[in-house]
Amino acid sequence: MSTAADKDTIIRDLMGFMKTEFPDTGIELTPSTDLLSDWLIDSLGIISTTLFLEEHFGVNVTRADIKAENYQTIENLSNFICKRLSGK
Amino acid sequence: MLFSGATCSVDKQLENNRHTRWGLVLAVLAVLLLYAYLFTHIADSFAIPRPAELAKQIGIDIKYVFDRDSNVGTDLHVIYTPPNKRDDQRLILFAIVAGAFLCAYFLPLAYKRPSLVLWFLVAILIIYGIRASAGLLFAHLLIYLSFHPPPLKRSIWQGLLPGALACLAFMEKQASWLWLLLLLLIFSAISLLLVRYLLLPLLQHERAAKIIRTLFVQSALIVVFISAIVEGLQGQTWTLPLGILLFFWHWERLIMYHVDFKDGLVPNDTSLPTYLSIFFSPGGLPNGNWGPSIGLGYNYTQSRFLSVDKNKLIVSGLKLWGIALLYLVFADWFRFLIVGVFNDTGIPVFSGHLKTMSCAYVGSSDISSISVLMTTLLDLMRWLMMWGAIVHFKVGVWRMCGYDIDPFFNKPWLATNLVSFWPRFTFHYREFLVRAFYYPVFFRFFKKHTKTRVVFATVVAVGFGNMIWGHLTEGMFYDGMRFQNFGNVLETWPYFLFLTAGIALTELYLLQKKSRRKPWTRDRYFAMDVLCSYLTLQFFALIHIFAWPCQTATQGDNWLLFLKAFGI
Repeated sequence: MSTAADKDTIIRDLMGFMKTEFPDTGIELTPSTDLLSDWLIDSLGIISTTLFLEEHFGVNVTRADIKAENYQTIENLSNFICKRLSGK
Repeated sequence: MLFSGATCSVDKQLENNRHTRWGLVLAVLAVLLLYAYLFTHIADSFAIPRPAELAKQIGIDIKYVFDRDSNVGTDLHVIYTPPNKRDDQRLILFAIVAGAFLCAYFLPLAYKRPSLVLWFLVAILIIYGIRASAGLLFAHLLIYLSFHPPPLKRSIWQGLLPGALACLAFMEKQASWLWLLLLLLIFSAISLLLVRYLLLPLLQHERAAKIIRTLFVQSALIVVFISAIVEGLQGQTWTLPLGILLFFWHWERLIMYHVDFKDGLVPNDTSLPTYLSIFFSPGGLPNGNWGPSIGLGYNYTQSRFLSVDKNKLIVSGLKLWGIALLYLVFADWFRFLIVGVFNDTGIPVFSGHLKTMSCAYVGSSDISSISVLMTTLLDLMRWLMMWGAIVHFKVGVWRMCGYDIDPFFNKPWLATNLVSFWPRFTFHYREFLVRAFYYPVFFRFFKKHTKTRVVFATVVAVGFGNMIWGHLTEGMFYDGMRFQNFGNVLETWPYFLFLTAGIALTELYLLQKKSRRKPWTRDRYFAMDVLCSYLTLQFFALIHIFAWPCQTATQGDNWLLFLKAFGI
C-alpha cells in the first residue's frame, strides 16, 4: 500500500479484513461500528488486526498504539493509519 | 472489550440505574435461598427436610448428588476455611452476596461501590477474623501508597495506618489490650516515619518508584522463590500470615493494575476507596483461588460498572447462576452415568479420574489406548463442569453487584481449535497472559518476522508466563512454601511444552488460513467442526497426563502413558 492511499481505500480494505477475519458477528459493520465492544472480541483479535495493519499498510505499530483511541472503530483505525503513513 | 479505555460516564451509569424491578430482586433472593438450602444446613433452622430427605420423600432417587450430611456436595466454598465448617461459611457467603446485591441495586450511585467494599470487608472479618483482614488491608495499603503517593503534608494517616494494620496482622493472639495498644502506637509511629521519610521521598524519583512498584506487585513471586530456596537449604518452611496469602491471590489482578498504570489508564489521584473497590468486591469471595483474574485490573473493572442496565445484568447473572446450579448438582451424576456406559462396554475408565489411571499404570496395569483417551477426556469433562460451575457463580456475583463482567467460561466444547479453546475455557486468565506477557514481547521482538514473532510471544506467554506466574506460585500457595512443591510444578514441563507448541502452531495456521466460514454452520463442513472440537478437547485432556500424574509416577511413566494413547 502506497503512502498516497486515500482514506476511502483504507476503510474499504479494513472492512474487507474485518469481515473475513471475524465472520458472522451478527452486527452490521460500518465505519463507526464499535469494534471493541462488538467486533474484536478479545486481545488476540487485536493481534491479528495489528499484523494486518503492519503487513497490508506497512505501518509500524507499537504497544503504546494499542488503545481505544486507535482501535475503537474502522474510522479511528483509518485515521491512525493515515497519520502513520503521512509520517506524523 | 478489555482495553476499552473509556470509563463508563456517570450519566450513563445513572441511566442504567433508573428502573427498579421488584420481580428480579425477589428472584435473586430466591435463587440465593435455593443455593443456601442445597449447599448449607439452613434447612435445620427452619425445621424443614434436608435436600436428600426431601428428594426421598418425593420419590427422587438420584446418585452422587447428596453428601453424608444430606445436602448437596459441592466445590463451592470459601478458601482457607476448615472442611467441617464449609457449610457455615457458605451460608455467610450467600448472606453477604444478598446484602451486597441489595446495596448495589438500591443505594444511590455514589454509595454503591463503597458499600461493596464494606460488604467484602465484613465477610473477611467474619470468616477470617481481624488479623487476616488487617494483613490484607496492610498489603493493599502499601500497594496503594506506591502507586498513588499522597503529598507529604497530607500523609499522616496514610503513614500511620500501615503500621497499625501490620501490628494487628502480626500480633500475638494472646496479647493483652494494654500491650496491643502500646504496640499499635509504636508500629504506627515507625510506619509514619518510614512512609514520610523513606517511601514517599523514594517514590519521587521515577526509577526508584518503578522498582518499588514492581517489587510490591511481584511480592508473591519473590516470596515464593525465596521461601522455596530457604526451605531447600535450611528445611525451614515459611508459613505466611493468612491476610498476606489472601493478598497474594490478588496478584494477577495487581499485575494487570500495574499494566494499566504503565499504560496511563489509572489516574494518579485515584482515591483509596476507589482503589479498594477494584479488589474488594464480593465477586472475589467464593473460591478466591479459582479464576482469581476475574475482574482484572483498574480499567476493566472501572469501565464495566453499570455500563449496561442493572436489570439486564441481573438477568444474565441469574442465567449464569442457573447453569452453575445444574453443574453443581448434577455433574457427578452425569459423569458416573457416562462412566457406567464405558464400564458396560468393557472399557475401563477409572471412574473418569486421570490420577487413578496414572496410579494404576504405575502399579503395572496394562492400559489400552481407548482407555487412556476416554479417561483423560472424562477427567477433563469432570473438571470442566466443576470449573464452569464455580466461575459462573463468581461472574454471576459480579453481575449482581453491577459489573458487566465477561463470562470466564463459555462452552469450551464448542472450540474448534486450541486458540479459541482458551478464551472459552479461561477467558480472564488468557487475557492476563496476553496483556502481561504476549503484548510486551510481540511489540518488541522479531517485528520483521511474523511467524517467529508470534511463536516467541506465545512461548513467553503460554509457556513461561503461564508456568511461572500462574502454576508455580499457585502450586506454592496451595501446597506450602517448600522446595519440593517448587520442583513438582517444574516437573510438569511437558504439559507446558505441548500446550505452547499446540497454541503456537494453531496461531500460525489461523494466520495463514483465510476462511469466511463460521464454525458450527450447518453445511457440509459441520462434521469437520465436530472432529476439530473432539481433537481440541482430546489434546488438552491428554497433555494433563503430565500435569496431574500419580504421585509415584516418574517422568518416564508419564511419557509411556501418553504414548499409549497413540497405540505406541
